[in-house]
Amino acid sequence: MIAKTKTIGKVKYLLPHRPLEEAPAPSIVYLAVEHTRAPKGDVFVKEGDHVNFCQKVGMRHGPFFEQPIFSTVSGTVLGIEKHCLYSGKQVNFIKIQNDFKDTLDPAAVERTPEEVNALTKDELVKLAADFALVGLGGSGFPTSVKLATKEPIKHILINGIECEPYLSTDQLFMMNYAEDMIHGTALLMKMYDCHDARICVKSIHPEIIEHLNAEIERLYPGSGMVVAPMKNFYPQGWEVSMIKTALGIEVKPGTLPPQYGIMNVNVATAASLYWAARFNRPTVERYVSFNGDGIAEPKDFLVRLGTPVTDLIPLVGGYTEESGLRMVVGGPMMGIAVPNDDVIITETVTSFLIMKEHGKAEAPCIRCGSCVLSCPAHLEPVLIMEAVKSNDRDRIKALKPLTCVECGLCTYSCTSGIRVTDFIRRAKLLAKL
Amino acid sequence: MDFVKETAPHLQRKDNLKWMLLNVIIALAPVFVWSFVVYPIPSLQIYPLSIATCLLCEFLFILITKKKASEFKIENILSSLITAIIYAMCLPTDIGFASGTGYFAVVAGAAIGIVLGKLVFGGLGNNIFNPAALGMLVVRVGWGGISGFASSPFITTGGSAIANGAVYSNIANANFLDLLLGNVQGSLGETFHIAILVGLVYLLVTRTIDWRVVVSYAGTFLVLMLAAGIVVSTKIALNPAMFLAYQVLSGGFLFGLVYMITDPVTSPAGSPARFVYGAFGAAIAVMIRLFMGTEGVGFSILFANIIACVLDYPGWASARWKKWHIIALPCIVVLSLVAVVLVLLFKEGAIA
Repeated sequence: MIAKTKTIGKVKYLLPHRPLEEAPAPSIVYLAVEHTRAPKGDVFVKEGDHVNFCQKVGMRHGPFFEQPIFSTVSGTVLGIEKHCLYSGKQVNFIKIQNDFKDTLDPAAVERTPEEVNALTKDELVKLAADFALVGLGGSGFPTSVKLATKEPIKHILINGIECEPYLSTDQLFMMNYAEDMIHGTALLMKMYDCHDARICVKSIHPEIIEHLNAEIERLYPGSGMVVAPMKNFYPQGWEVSMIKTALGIEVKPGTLPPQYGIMNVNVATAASLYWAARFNRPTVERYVSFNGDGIAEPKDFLVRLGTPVTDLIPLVGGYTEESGLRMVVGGPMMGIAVPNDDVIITETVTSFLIMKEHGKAEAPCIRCGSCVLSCPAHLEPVLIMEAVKSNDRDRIKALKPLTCVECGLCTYSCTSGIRVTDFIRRAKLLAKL
Repeated sequence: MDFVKETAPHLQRKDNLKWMLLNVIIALAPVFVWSFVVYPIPSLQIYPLSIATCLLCEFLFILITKKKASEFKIENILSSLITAIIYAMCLPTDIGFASGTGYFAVVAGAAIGIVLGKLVFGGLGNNIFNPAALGMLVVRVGWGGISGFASSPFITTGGSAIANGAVYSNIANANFLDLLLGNVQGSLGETFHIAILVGLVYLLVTRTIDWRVVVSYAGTFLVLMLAAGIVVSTKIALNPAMFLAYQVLSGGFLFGLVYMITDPVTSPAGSPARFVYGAFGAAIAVMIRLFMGTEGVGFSILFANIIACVLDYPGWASARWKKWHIIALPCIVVLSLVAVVLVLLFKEGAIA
């Protein structure tokens, strides 16, 4: 079929809506000492130490930022253990036994709304750095670095689009934490002295739009904060697509939104900024969904960060098969398939998809061009694939694979079932050489 | 618990290559059936030979390159079947079958077409030329002298237009209903325009072919032929609309448009390039028809196939309209328009 893929079709084995359940507090949490963006880290506590809820227990060192580590429970440090990040990398984790008291750290002093209002841009950026705020849409990019931009910001976009199919944690968040998110957006508006903030939500969610409109009307009427309905296509949530739809501005490859006077953050990130400002504490919880035909009862949970996935698997009825399952962390289009279930829930984990094998057999490419039509970055995946196969680096560079965002639409739309995205990833590596 | 390793994305669209190839065969079915009804004997002489030759060549190719008979998959069968059927439909209904030469011609054309047009480049998906068009031209060039038209009780009018050369004064006498219904002499499959149009609709609805190629090839052909018709009408008494209708309904134009130029393998990958590709093909077809008085659709497809490689040249290729696409497309149309008008106006005997 020679056709552009605009939306991801229905998949029988994934549920669009799952019941939301409360996950019991984990008896042991694991906190990563390092991760992909910050490859080194220090630990401030030792075995046997008692730690408080929201206490700083370590510091990660990134190439251009420092990121403190906070305990998400109160309890006793049991030591350091090796576990896998969901990228597949094995790193050190601080293991903490939960005493189920959640004794709050004395450093976490609440601010009054007036004090919050009085915070300046520099203070907010410092708060974002001090509480290790990161992009909660899944990028994990340090929020403080993003907020510290010196460009004048004319538009603020709050990304609640969640364009990947079968992800709905941001939708849950917008329904249940609308107030915090709107406060966070107001902080951003004040911070940049910007009077145009748009909360971007897909138009197929009228109930969320209605709820947010009512909350904005109640909290900040006439402030310039509005809900902007977005189109329902994949990848509408990619910042370039979102900015194009919301503002009509085309962000060129190699440039960043702030250069166009745009600040875009995820809904949960906006709320986390408010929590840091108001309650002086980091993000400790997030919504995580479990979906797919590899588990008995797909469900959504509000989970403490640091909870091991193995704790939650019994709550969703266990696996349906002994072997041959796939576990994807993230959305079905861009998520990462993990080698085993030794995975710890961190800020950037949105969803677990546990699926049986459903792939289609690979056939020769007939150059139908569906990948070219579908590519949101306007690349020609089929030509890049041919160049990679012939190992022709000049040809690869001429086709500019570095603008690819790895949305996965080329593999998805391939009539012949070829994993085109893998070739593009290889092309990106070869083009950088 | 350990999981199966896999790279993102983890979902795939439901369509597959087998269905896409099968759709082409389904779209060919009306023409196939019609050709059997109108020409039962030639059909029995041509189809089995061409299908057997193509399947055998493809099978031997798989045996030689992959060393395993199990690699001869459904896709290979379907794609060589498509080549065989399209090739057979392009052949004259009689290639001297009485003397036995015709059987050799069918086999030779099919073998040369599929081997030189497709298999030497690496088989399915790697070919540069349309194998059916190549095979057909081999027969046209090599055995054209002894080719003729089989008799059929259905055929009332003589001569599928293009075969008669550029005698435009005859057009006024042509029976357009017969041309539309295929009650004229011509190749095995190319005259059944109703069946071909059914195939076109099916292919477009199932999105097996790209509408961009169809629109640009047909559009350019119509524009150029209309201009030619207007020039012709200044010299002889002929309505330009009749000239246009005659050019559309005679020869292999519709057949080539629906089943041959649209082959995705030999088309460029980007969508703007596909417009340029179609326009270029149509311009070649028009010029061969008007300047040489012979059918040009087959050659135009091979020429367009060559240009497809140029259009996919990295650095020029683009998924979006680039400046050179926007310049090239009207340039092709305007330059060939100028050529057509000038030749028809000033060349001695261009219009008879």
